[in-house]
Amino acid sequence: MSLQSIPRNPFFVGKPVPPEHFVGRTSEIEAAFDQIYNRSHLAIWGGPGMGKTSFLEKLSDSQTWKEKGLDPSQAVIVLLNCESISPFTPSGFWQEVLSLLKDKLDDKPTLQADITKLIEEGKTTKDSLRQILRKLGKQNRFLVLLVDDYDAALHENKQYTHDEMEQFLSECRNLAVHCRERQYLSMIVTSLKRLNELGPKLNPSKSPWYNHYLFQRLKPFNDTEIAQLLGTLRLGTLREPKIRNAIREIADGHPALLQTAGSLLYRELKTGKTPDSQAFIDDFESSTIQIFQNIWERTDEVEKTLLMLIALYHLKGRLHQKKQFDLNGIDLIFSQRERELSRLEEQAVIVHQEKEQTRMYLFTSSIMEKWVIQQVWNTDEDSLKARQKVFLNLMSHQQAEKITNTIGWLGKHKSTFKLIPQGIDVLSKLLRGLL
Amino acid sequence: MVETRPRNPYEIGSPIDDRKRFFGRESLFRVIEDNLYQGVKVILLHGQRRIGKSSVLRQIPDCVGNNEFVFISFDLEERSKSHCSHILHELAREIVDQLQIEPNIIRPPTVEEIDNDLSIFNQIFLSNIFQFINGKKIVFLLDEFDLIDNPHLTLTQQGLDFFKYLGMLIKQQENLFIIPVLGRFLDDMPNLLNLFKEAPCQEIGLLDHVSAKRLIAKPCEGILTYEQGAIEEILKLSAGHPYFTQVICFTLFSQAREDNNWRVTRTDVINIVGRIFHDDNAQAGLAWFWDGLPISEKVVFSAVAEAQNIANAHAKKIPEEALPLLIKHGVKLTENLNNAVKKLYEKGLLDDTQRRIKVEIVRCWLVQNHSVKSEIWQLEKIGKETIQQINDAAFSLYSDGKKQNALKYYQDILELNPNHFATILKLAKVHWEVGNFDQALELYERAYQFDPIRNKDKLLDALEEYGHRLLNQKDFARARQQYERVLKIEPHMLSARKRLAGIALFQGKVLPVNITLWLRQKQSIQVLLAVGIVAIAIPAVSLVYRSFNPCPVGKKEQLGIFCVADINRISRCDRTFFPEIQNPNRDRGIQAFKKGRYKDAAEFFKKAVADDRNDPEVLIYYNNALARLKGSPFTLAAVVPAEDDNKGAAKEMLRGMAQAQNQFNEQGGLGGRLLEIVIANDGNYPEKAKQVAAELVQDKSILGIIGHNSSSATSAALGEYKKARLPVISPTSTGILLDSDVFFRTAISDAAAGEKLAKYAVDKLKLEKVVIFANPDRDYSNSMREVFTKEFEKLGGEVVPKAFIDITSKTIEQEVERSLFRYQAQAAVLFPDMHNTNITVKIAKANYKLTDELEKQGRKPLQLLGGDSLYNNNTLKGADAVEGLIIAVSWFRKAAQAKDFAQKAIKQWGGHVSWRTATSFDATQAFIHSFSEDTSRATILENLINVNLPVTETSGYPLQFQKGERLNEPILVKVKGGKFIKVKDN
Repeated sequence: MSLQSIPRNPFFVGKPVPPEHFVGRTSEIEAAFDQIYNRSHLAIWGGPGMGKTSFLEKLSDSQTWKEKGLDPSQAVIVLLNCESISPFTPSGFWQEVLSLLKDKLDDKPTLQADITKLIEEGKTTKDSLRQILRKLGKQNRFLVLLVDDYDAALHENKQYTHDEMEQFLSECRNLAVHCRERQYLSMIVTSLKRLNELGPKLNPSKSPWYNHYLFQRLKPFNDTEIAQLLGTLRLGTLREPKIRNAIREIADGHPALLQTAGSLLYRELKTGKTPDSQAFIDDFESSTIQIFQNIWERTDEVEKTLLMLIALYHLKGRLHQKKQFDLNGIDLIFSQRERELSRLEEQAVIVHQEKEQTRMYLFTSSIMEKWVIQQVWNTDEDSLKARQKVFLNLMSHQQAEKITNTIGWLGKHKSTFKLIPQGIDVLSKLLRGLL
Repeated sequence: MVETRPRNPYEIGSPIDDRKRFFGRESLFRVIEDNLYQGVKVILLHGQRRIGKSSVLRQIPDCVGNNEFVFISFDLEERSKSHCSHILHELAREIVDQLQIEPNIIRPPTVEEIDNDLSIFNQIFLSNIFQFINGKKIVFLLDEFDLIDNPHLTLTQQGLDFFKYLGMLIKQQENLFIIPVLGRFLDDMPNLLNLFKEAPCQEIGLLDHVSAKRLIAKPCEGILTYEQGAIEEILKLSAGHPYFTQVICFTLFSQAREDNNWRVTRTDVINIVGRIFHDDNAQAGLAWFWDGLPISEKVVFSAVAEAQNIANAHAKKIPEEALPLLIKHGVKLTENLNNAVKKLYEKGLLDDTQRRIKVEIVRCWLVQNHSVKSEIWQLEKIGKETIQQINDAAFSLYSDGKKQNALKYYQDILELNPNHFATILKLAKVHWEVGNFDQALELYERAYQFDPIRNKDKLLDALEEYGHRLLNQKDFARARQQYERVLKIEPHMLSARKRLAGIALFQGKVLPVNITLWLRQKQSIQVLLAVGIVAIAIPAVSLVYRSFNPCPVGKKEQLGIFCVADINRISRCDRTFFPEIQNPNRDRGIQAFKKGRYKDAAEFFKKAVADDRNDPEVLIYYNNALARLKGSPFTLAAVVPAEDDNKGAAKEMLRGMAQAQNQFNEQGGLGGRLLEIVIANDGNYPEKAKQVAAELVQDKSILGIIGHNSSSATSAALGEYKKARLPVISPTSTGILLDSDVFFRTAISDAAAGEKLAKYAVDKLKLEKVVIFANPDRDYSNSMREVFTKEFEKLGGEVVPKAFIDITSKTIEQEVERSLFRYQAQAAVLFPDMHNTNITVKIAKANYKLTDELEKQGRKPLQLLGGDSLYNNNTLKGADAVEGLIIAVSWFRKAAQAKDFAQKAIKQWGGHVSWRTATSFDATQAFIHSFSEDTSRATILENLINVNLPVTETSGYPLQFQKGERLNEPILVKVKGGKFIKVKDN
């Protein structure tokens, strides 16, 4: 193994992956360019850490265009993040689009001057952009508008009322669907959830504001993509599959978790120290806690409860013989809550396996599982009471009582368990073997 | 590296401008053209969302008319809040823009100008335009026209909205035509129909098969080839819906490009559906199919999808109707639900059978994402606010005890919304409480239908209880129905099987085969036969027909309908051993506990304790309920002689255990786990003790035994405990033959007591000749006798006659005389077993009777000595006859050391406690201090050896074991003045 040949850490933690290091997502990129090519629109969605920002950056890179056989010089690519418009307002949005567009038009000084004038006059509206689009079109160019964190435009804030939101979204749809300048525009947005689950409720007297987008979900990486990503470690054909399997236990296909695991592994290999499994896991946990917290906070009470039940269910397997663990009938609850569970699957928190005609739910990451168990442990009397109400929405009185007891019992005995996330042991052994 | 793979020619989301990429709709264009030529001024186009309306509109200029018409496209998408003058201004700008008129030729009027004079738009601007186009006709193509029903629409100063103005305009301008396009069902838009009553209305629907096939195959001609089967399959999925056709083909194209396999087969199409859903490609269009419907239609829509699924599974072509399926899910059909099928059909979502969803891919999506069982809950939202108010009122009535009024209110809610499921449960409860069982059950049945998981238990409970009541009324036929229903839901329900069997027996009927079989498995045939015989002779035998539910205390159900004496020897809070104590709260607690309602049980037992604080059983049961409630309790078994004359001793023992248990649980237990005590009764009979022990060792949750009471009982049981390595601490068995490494005791052994007594007799009382009264068949009695004799003789004393006198002798008074006069004994040593302690008083009285006669001889009556079996109030009943009796005991409450505990005990029990209470307390404490987080029988055995409790943790004396024996001296007490006092210098 020639570690020397790896110049610098090729993994990226807490920041988007630069286009030259981007791996995977082949079919999603193809779909994006199909939409761009047809001047149509794309809505990418996926949970925290699924790589939405990196994906947009990959699309904005002219090298990518060339690889896909498209001429980047025909397009003006503008990438903006709605979170950077704080607080989000429509005029802030149009202004941001116009000024970023202006920055990209150094070869068209007259157009730049037109934009400057519009901004100076305070005409930062959809119509201004429309004017500019028309002029762009006349010069055989078109705008690719890449909008990250579109969620910000889909939540009200103090300076952005519900009516203003409806208006803004109508303007965007008008620009994309009805006005003639739409042939010079392709818009790609990202969000944490499907667009139809965000923003204003459907109004029967209007077209749904989002229905011109092709939706595309960013899923966890598949085997090929994981292999591709970890391939940068150059572990050798013998060790690589083993390490990959161990990493799958803690990160599964979750891109941000994989990047973190890869980065830490790289560091260990590079420094040549004997890897300390506890230190590795501590580092991994502290670098990823934000992601878990983020995921946790974004789930509603029913989803939280289901996650707890899944964690308990698997904990029971590990604490066999403890009769305090009475979780009979849990599978039945799962079968009644397929919709919420599939939502959690979409957020890449859990996956399911079919075993002997029953559906088993598992956490994608053993660290997330540990995290949820910690939430169970830290349930105090009051929150347990609150949670019991949610239980009653999911199950019978007796089941709810059983589970409440189990959680209470666990909380009191937490000191007696040591939770070692699956995969860590194997990983540390393998790491030792590497050096 | 540059890839030169083809781009996807299918377009999702954008209207089609390119004529070459647009397929079909030819007849529609002809109709439009004909109408325009005939001078029809308004032609309404309508169709579902994503059906291709905007694309049609885009194609009209190319497909309709010759040069006679000028088409102006205008959409109302973002005008929902716009002023009419604004809209007209925008329209004017679009006109000049699209006709490419320079502003210096015709200038669109400004907003202010229109505001000032509305006629400027028509009379000046439009007239100029008509002049400019030179006699041609203008057609406005108005997209997103649904806005006409928007309540936010702002009026002009003249009170006109844009739509009314438009209506006027087309009347005034001869050459002006409009083609509005709508995405809603026309019946939902009364304003529109009022305004354009005469207008022909054209639906933009699904593509015909020929057009759809072209849409599939044409765009990728030369790149991708579809096999015939593939096209058929796509048509089956999309039904010619242009959007879904595009989505399916788009995804197929992507897949082909990834696989570099440019031929699409039928299988490819079947497989692509999974990817479409997984990638979410069709979601933007699918969402409307759900979100755009009112609740009742959503629910029916999902039911149609499910009915179709069921039909598919059974290879049936025409599915069942959707509505009966809803009834099966506990839904009551309302007018809206009844009409929903028709509505869905009219909206073009169902096909002509009205039992199938038109677009198959929509159905697949519904089945995956909107199942009936979860969607019916949306029905609860109907009438939400009003219902909330009524519900609040009902609840406060209910809380005030006005149940009949509350009932009425809940009925009102269901009148308002028959599918307010939460109210169904509430109403069921109130009906039940006021005795309307049939109504309540009907509602519980419904509750079971709409939410089987949460409501099954409720239904089963109600059925069983109702069954009981019917039995009480001797309404066997209906009772049987209830139990049969129970078994239909839960075939393994034991209680219902028993009751059905009971009813059958009672009615002298042959048992159903399955129940007979079950009885054979569960109970021996003999039992069945015995019960059968008894059943035939019912009036004559002691079986009591159950007149009450549940069985009276001390009795238990047999075969569901009879109450027989409860002979079960072990109670886990499921019976009382003291039925003679009346305590209704205890009985309620027991019922609740049996059903696993520990919280309720704890409440009842708490009240029971308050009602009778002297009764240790209820305090134990109270603590047991708490322990269960907390979960994973430490469990000990108390084995006491809770029958016949020994009940007093049993209670004394239980008090000590209860007190320790209560104290431990009050302090929060260990690691959150509390102590549970199972009570067992061996009646102090060795053979029963053995049975009880054999049963207790089987229960792995039992960590230790406190008991038994008599040495004989303990001895008989010990073998079982030894085999199971189950630790035993007896608080009262003092027999010397008890020896095992699982055995401990907190009472002083007979060896120590016997020795102490013998020593005292010789050293202090200077006795030389004694008689011993003992029971040769009882361990305690025998061991005391043996130890005493040995020690007494060792010290120079003599036991006369050789050995002992059988205390069970029928001629006990004569034996006393003989002892005095024939054997010249100075003292009588009394070692009765627990069953014969009352004989002591007989002996004492016989002895006392002789006082005068003896005095004549200058002699005294026999000095009485005894073991701890005499240490009780019954002994004191001997009054003067027992004055001076000296006994060796393990604990004496008036001793200084014992004072603290004695005080606490008085507080707890409202009276004095005995040594048995003290040693039982100590035994329980020894166990408690041997618990650990990972406690097991083995760890307790280990820990007991090292137990070392200070006096603060015990009943007054330190506690340590050596080879299972307590390391304390016995205490001698004496009866003086009708009381026990401590013997000085002992």
